[in-house]
Amino acid sequence: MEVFIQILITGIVVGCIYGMAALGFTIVYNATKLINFANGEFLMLGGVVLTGAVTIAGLPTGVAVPVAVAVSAAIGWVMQRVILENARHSDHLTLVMLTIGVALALRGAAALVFGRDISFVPEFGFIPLVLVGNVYIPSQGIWIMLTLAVLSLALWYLFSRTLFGKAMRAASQEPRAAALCGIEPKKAAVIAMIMAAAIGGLAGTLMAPISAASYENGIFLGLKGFAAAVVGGLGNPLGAILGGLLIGVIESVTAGYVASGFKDAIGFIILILVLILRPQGLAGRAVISRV
Amino acid sequence: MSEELLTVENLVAGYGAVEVLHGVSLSIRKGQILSIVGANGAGKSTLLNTISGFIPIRSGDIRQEGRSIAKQAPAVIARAGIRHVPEGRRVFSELSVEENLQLGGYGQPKAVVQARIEHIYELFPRLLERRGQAAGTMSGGEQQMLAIGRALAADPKVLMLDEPSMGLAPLVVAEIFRLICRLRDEMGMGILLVEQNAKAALRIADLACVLSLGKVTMHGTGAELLHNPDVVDAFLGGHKAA
Ligand SMILES: Nc1ncnc2c1ncn2[C@@H]1O[C@H](COP(=O)(O)OP(=O)(O)OP(=O)(O)O)[C@@H](O)[C@H]1O
Ligand SMILES: [Mg+2]
Repeated sequence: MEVFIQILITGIVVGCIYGMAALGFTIVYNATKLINFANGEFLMLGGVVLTGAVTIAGLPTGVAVPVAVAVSAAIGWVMQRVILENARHSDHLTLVMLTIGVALALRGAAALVFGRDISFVPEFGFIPLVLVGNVYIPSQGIWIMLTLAVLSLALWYLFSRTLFGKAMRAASQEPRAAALCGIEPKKAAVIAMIMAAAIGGLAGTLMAPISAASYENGIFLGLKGFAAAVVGGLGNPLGAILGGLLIGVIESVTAGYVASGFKDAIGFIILILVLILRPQGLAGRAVISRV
Repeated sequence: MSEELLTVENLVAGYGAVEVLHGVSLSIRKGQILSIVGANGAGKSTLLNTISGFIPIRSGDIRQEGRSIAKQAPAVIARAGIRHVPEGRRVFSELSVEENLQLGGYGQPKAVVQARIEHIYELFPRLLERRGQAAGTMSGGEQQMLAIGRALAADPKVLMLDEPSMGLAPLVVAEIFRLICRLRDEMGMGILLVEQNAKAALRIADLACVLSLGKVTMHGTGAELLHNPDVVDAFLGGHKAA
């Protein structure tokens, strides 16, 4: 039992990271109907910029984390304004290819600037680890869970309590009608990308102390986040978080009881099962097709 | 003559290789209803969508109070006070009635918008009863009222309505047409009304025109067109235009 709970906690912690990656996909998808395959690179950037700032520049974690989040957010902003906005009249597939191109470019740039070695940073600290019987929750894990909790609340507040957030939802549901209300779809798209990049960057800094930062991390984090977003029901923020947690927990259980080598495949097996059995996602509403 | 709020001059526009509007001219004045009638596919919605900035202009001009808005983005045109209630209503179905109205006044001071919303509730008591309901769950007539209310929340100078009577019961249609008259009379709005329900649209119109195959083929006062034998034949007579 204790072993199981320990495995569960590990899964939830990793699932929180996947959930944050999935939130990035969801927020951008809602604003522009685009799957941003560079989203995983935001997590990668958060990690490598944090380690760079701590190990190379010698900044304390409390400063380095905001710096890493800001760098990631700024790159999201540039990506939207300079690349996607100028290509907005291209067809959808071209835009998706562009995001893949950006992902490769960011990966290359990160390797160039921060090197190809994986690097470690100390845990954020301050919060003590919690021991209940023989089950322990690591300090960094608590940081991660608390961050996701606060982030979820903040997003809930933004999208359901502020007119600005409602305008973003309106622009995603009925883009033309939103424009007729004076809501700029371009602005909504930029803000969505900045949010996704900041959330991704934050997730990347949070996981750097537990799983080493590397320029290569973006791809697998992006795929896991994408799977979580689709499993939860693409476009549904709550579903994204739940999808992330589900994949994290099932991965962890698989690694603990089946084989750890099988862990990475399981997320995609879930993705495929969901796409076959429940294409609208676990938390998604049934898709009513109009004739 | 009263002030020209919106002027469309020799407007040519279309989609891809297809030209739909072949030089349309019209103008809308303060406190007047201009009704545009025409058969399916005449280009009525295309005209409104072009004025709103969704369809690029090939030639001609669109001016608001003398200033060209021909190259502006839809959101900019909307914020300048030209509000378009689109065909099919397009309410924000997941948001509540009140949230839809608040978004109508997006970017304007909250207190001002809230005061306008109270006024909109006086015009449409039904919306007040349903202020907390998700817009998508309302009836067609209620959604039409909401779509109009959403445009009114911005206190527009020009209101463009695309087939507000579509799919609605006669009593609801009458209510909406009465309201359109009130907006003209009490608020001095310039109104561009596109309708297939030609009789009702011509009856309340100050000025009217017939759009057919992307051209204005007739124009005059509402009463003139209402009694014009060609118009009667084409739109008011039998089942031809229904
Ligand atoms: N998005 C589009 N792409 C290509 N052609 C279009 C598009 N929208 C409309 N058209 C064409 O333009 C012409 C005018 O259409 P429009 O919708 O403006 O007519 P309408 O007068 O509003 O008709 P209705 O009374 O049926 O609403 C039609 O021939 C239509 O097929
Ligand atoms: Mg039409």
